[in-house]
Amino acid sequence: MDFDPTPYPLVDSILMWLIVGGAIALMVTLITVVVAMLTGVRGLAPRAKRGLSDFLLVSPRRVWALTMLTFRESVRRKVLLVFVLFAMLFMFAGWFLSGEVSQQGAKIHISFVLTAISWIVLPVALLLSCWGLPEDIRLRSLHTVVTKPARRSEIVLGRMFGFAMVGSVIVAVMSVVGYVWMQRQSPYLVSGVDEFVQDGESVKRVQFANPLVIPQDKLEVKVDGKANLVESAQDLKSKLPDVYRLYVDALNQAQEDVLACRVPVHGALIFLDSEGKKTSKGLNTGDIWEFRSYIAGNSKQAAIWDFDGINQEQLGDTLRLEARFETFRTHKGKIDEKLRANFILVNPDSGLRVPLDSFAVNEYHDGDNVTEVKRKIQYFDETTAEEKSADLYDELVVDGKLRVEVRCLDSGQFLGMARPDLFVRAPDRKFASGFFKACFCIWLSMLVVVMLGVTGSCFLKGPVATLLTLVFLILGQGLAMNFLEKVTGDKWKGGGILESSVKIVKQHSLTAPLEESQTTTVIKKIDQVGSKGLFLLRWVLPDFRHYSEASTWVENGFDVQFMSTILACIATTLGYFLPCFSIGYFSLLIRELESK
Amino acid sequence: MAETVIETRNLTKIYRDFWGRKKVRALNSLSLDVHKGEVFGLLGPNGSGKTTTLKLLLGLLFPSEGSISILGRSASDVEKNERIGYLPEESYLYRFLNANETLDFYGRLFNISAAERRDRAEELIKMVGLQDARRRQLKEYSKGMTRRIGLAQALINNPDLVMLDEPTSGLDPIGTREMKDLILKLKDQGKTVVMCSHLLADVQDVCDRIAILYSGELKVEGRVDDLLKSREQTQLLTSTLDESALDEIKQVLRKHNAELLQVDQPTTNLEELFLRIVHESETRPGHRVTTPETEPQKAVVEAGSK
Ligand SMILES: Nc1ncnc2c1ncn2[C@@H]1O[C@H](COP(=O)(O)OP(=O)(O)OP(=O)(O)O)[C@@H](O)[C@H]1O
Ligand SMILES: [Mg+2]
Repeated sequence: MDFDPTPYPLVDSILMWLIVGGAIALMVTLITVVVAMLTGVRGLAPRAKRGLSDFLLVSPRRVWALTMLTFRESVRRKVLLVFVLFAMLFMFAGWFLSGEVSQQGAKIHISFVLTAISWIVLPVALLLSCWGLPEDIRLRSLHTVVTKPARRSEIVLGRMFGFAMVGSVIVAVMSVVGYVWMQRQSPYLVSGVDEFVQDGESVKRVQFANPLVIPQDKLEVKVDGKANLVESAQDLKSKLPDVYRLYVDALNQAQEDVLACRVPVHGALIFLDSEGKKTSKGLNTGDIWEFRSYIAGNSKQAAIWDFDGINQEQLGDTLRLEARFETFRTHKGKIDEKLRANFILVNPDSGLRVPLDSFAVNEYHDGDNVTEVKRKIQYFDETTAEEKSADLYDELVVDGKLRVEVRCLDSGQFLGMARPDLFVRAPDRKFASGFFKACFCIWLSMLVVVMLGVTGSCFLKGPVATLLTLVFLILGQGLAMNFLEKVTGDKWKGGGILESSVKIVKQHSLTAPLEESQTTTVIKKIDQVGSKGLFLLRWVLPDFRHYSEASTWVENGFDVQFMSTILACIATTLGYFLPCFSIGYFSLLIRELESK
Repeated sequence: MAETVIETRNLTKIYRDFWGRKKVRALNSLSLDVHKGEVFGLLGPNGSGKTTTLKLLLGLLFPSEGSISILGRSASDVEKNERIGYLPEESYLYRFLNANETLDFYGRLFNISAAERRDRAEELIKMVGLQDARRRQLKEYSKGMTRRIGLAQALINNPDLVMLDEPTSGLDPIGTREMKDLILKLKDQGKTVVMCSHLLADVQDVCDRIAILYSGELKVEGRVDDLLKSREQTQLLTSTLDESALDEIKQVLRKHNAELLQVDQPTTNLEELFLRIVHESETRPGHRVTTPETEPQKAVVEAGSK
């Protein structure tokens, strides 16, 4: 996951959806017609015609009746017992997570809760939706339903909605329980209370023991020089009620810091090369991952971010810049000192340049680089060699636009960065905001599983439908998707599958072209068709990366952004509705509901 | 001639396996007409294609050949179902619902309003005698009870055409009697009933017309009265006669060139006996019911003393 929140290309996606959907619809129609002609199945045309008209005449009340039936069925089959599983997970989670929780802080808790939710709800949704209709057909209870005026389309919808409802209940309950659990789980304990005088008033302050580790043994809490042994927060409450009250206040504050929901405002990034000319990429230091590019220290090279949407009402008077850079050293330098870099704020219109104080670059394991820019900035103007001051919003920001230039100050050293590595941090949202958005995305992914499962179960038996949906679910995860994207992209250098296999068998160089011949042309033709197939596969598979992306944002203390993540999830889920519905409906329509 | 409700022409059904290979020819070139307002019986031994015919009519199966018109529509038309009630061979219902929920659910599929659903469910549950079991899930029901709720479900939409697949199977004699009465009542209301069964007595009691299938072929079709009327014999039923009276009758018969074939006292059939016993138990609880075996001598003596 590269944390690069580019807006979801909605229009392109819709186009792609139309192309792929159209291609598949065409293929299915052709195959159906050919099969019908070959086997002499009668009445296909009128049936298909009636099917099309029925498609649009769906009665919401009947769908609702079937939805409730499905829901009731699941509930009476005790599906909601998964909550017991979930509860047990949480009971034991405290133990096995306690050792893990260290530097990572709340991340592990958040990730645990989100993973637990999706790993419970997705299998349940998968099994329910894949077995529902086949069982209904096997027991022939569906016979009685289809001899009522219930359309097959309504049956498919009723099944989908019903299972979606079961999944929704599971997601809703689990996310609320998980949220409360996380709130209560923060393993802070007080190590002492110190009292000091501030502004002539005496203030008591709570000190935490290593804030993120539950102490193994009893903790000694010193109050007014007297030591008290406490074992737990509960113990603290009974023994030192005054300290406990302070503790709770401090805890809430600390929790707000740990269970964070940062809202980043990202900019557009370009680089200046060693001659000071604009380029889209910086230097490559030989890293295989080409995500970050580098700028050389003490040179004309720089990284330039153009931000938009910087306004005072939203951000307040201080501008928080958060950065996470990578360093690359070509010589030891002062190994115990961090590299230094600085920001220069630039008015994109007038070109007014305001350099900020340089700072030591934290690499990512040291935490983020946070720079707070006050509204009135004092700076040293090198050209006139005098101290000046500038107003952030009056003199630097133009129509919400602000330019930030980053330079590395140590010569011979390199600083690596990518677009999302520097952002303006807007005021945090409540943690709940990000967390429930991630849960919403899990919910959306559950919907996809339900739709796929119900569709499969319209023409397959339970076990086969389960297997098929599982394959979709697994291939849709990052690994397979990345692979498919690579294979179907242009970057594949060895040729198509057949061509590269031929090369391997003949021990031919993989990157050199095969010599021209009749067979080579045939091989290439076949590969073209093959790659079209892979291309289709890549676009037919649901991209579950979108959904897990939402969780990753929250785990890393960010809000989930609408344009880049939530929109992608919504679009993906919606994209499956029509295809799944129509495939499911038509397969139910053309099959006899006799179990065979 | 009344209007035709069901019309099939050359209806043929071949069951195929997964690979499209022929397995069974379950129905062969069946042409039938069912008219409005009549009770039509489909008879035949097990496996003769009765259920297959009903399923074809309902659009559950697709015909291999031939055409179907039902209520003026094609069998695969969903809208025809608005006016049809179907009781499957075994009641294929949702076993996790109770009787109330079952009727409510099927009522919803007809878009019947909530108030009407409630009234109708009430009425039907009373009619099939499941008042005490209405809140129990169907999986706890006995076979006969399941049949009864199945029947109620078939009538939820007040259908014009009722299709009953072996309606009396699994029912006790009272249930059977009630079922027959119900079928006749439906007929009185002007509804058309198609039922299939291999219990001839049931069919004979209620059906106007029957068709007999044998391994997928139509063997006989016609009015029950016509089919069962025997033209070589006449039956008389009188009060008890003594020997001399019988002799006189024989003489009269001889004058008309006829012969007395059989003289006996009519017996009630078992069904009537059972019904009487149940009736007596209900009206005089606690008494031992008198059965014909304990009574006949006395009856003869009484007859002789008269
Ligand atoms: N789903 C099926 N697949 C294959 N053959 C079937 C199927 N259903 C019925 N058959 C066959 O079709 C023939 C007719 O069956 P059908 O159920 O219509 O008989 P039926 O007259 O209703 O008999 P019964 O009195 O036992 O109910 C039988 O030979 C049966 O084996
Ligand atoms: Mg049958």
